[in-house]
Amino acid sequence: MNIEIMSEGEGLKDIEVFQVPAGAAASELIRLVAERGGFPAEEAILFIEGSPEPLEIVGLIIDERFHHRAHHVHRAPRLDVHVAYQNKQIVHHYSPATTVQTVLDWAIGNHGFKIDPAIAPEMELALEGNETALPRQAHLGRFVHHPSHALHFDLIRGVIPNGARDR
Amino acid sequence: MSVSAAEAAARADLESARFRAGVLRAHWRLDQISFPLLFITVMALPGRQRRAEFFFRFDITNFPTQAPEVKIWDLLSGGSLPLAERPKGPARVMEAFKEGWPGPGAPSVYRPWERHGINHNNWAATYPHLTWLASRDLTFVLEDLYALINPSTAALALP
Repeated sequence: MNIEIMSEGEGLKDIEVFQVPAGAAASELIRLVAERGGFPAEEAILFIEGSPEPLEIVGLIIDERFHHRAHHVHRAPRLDVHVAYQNKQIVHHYSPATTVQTVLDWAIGNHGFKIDPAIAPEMELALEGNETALPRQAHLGRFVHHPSHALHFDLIRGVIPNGARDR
Repeated sequence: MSVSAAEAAARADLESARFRAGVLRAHWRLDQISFPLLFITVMALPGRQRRAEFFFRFDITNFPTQAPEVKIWDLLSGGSLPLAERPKGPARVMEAFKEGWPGPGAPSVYRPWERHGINHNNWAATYPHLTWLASRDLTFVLEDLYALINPSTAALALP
């Protein structure tokens, strides 16, 4: 019996479903994601979505628990995440399994740029020099390729489509 | 495009990893399919809205060539959700769920990806990252709805 496991990973553009035999070693999931992402599985590590630390895979067996969580496979254990806003830059370290939403929360919050509450909900993250807001559930590792461990974002104000001139 | 082609495209979206990941994360769930109509619930995180979930009625006729028509819905009454019960928040939330789009009494979501927004106010050119394209999927819409309904926690926590 195969278990469907969702995972993002280095070299993947979005989350994907992988079929892994129940009872297989967790390294099999790493192998499948690495193959899909085009990098050597031997260098890769496995995370649960949102976790700051990788899973210890020695003796770890694929079972139903894997079906109920999203995962991430990457060669970098930690990323240096830089966020720029109005000529200032802040930096923090996150695992590649961290979501864009988590970084956004940090960047606008009291440990980040302390954005005015009136506009804070409008803020988004974009890749440096880009004006397109990133999907908030995307994992950071999707944007970084080993051996680079740095990720540069701009904090931007999202648009408010309005104006009903032709109604 | 026939309804069956639209149905096939919608079913492919509903079976995609992107859609299923949202279900896994408890961001949304599919409630009912009656092609060309889909009813999908989008969840609100605790403390973000007065309701825990909001229902949306998708009409996917000619999907994905034509953008879905998406209405904020009241499953009990089978009509639009009253304005007082719609999501609240900053300007972009209030705009998206305002009353009367595309006409009096109509409950479509006021966003560039929605069927009635495609030719509205030059939105397709002004907001290319939010407009509908045949290459987009239902999850693109759901991600936007989820973000509208759930403002950043950090924004809420600031004094």
